[in-house]
Amino acid sequence: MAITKETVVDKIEVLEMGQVQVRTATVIKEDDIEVNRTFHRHALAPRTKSGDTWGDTDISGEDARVQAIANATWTDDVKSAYETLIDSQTP
Amino acid sequence: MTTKVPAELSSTPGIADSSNATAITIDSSERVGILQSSPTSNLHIGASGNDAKRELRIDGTNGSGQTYGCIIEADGENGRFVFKVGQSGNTPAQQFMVHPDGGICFGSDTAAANALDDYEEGTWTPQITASAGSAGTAAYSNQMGRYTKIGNKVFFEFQVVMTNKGSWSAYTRVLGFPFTVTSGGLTAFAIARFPDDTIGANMIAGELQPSSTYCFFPTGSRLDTLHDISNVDTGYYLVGAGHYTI
Repeated sequence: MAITKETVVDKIEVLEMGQVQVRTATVIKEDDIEVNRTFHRHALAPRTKSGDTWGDTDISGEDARVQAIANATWTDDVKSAYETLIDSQTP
Repeated sequence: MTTKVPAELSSTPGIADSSNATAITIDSSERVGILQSSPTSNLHIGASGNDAKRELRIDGTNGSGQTYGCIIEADGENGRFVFKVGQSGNTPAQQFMVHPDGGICFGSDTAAANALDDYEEGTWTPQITASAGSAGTAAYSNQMGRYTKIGNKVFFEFQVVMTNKGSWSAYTRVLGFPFTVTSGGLTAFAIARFPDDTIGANMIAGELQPSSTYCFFPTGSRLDTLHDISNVDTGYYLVGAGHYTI
């Protein structure tokens, strides 16, 4: 009986304002038959604000596919629109 | 196609056949078609002409006689898959329907906006940070976040202990919520424990920010001042729970 555990990014969603939502699945298999699957989520914004200063979101630790999608999605226009949206909504 | 009628079937009283055209087809792969001469599934019910709907009806009994039971209907015209249930001989009424845009509508509802299209359970990792500064040597223990997403609502609970505040400054916030909050408006949630012994008689609440995955913590006698991370005591729990719309 061989029990294995693997972690895979199984869903990457891009929202209207450029936020990237990532779902990571942890899959437990017994003799190659899946016996359990659990999900963990996190999200990435096109820009990150610290104090009054906007900066690029650090995605260096993300899965390669997440980085590729984020880099393709986060154009200057998308980043600018996101900053404007958040600044208009955040106290 | 050759129509074959075994002698033992042509004369049995167990089958009443008044058809004047082919109703049932069994192909060379033993797939069965009903009103379908070229079945592509093991059991394939065909449709043709102007009638856009096909039904599979299962009758029930009320103990003494036949009543309507349920009907499964394929509504090709509207792309719907409908389940109807009847009672006491009444014509089955629609109980739920698989919407062509995804999701399930209940009762006779057909609106896409009301279709329940997602259910998901999982975990997330809460982090206490602040609106200015940087992580630096920030550290945590007991980071636990759980969520259940039903349609466009996310139900969450979390607990986290900050053991080192690193280089964060200004307003205290928690990062890492599992889905992006909808735009427009703030969303409040409840706090059970908060790591600050200077709050005293003041109140404290969680406030999710729109279009983001973080929250601030309004405090003060009117809940109109954002909590400052300089007052966070390391080594104590922050515990919260609530729900929000995506």
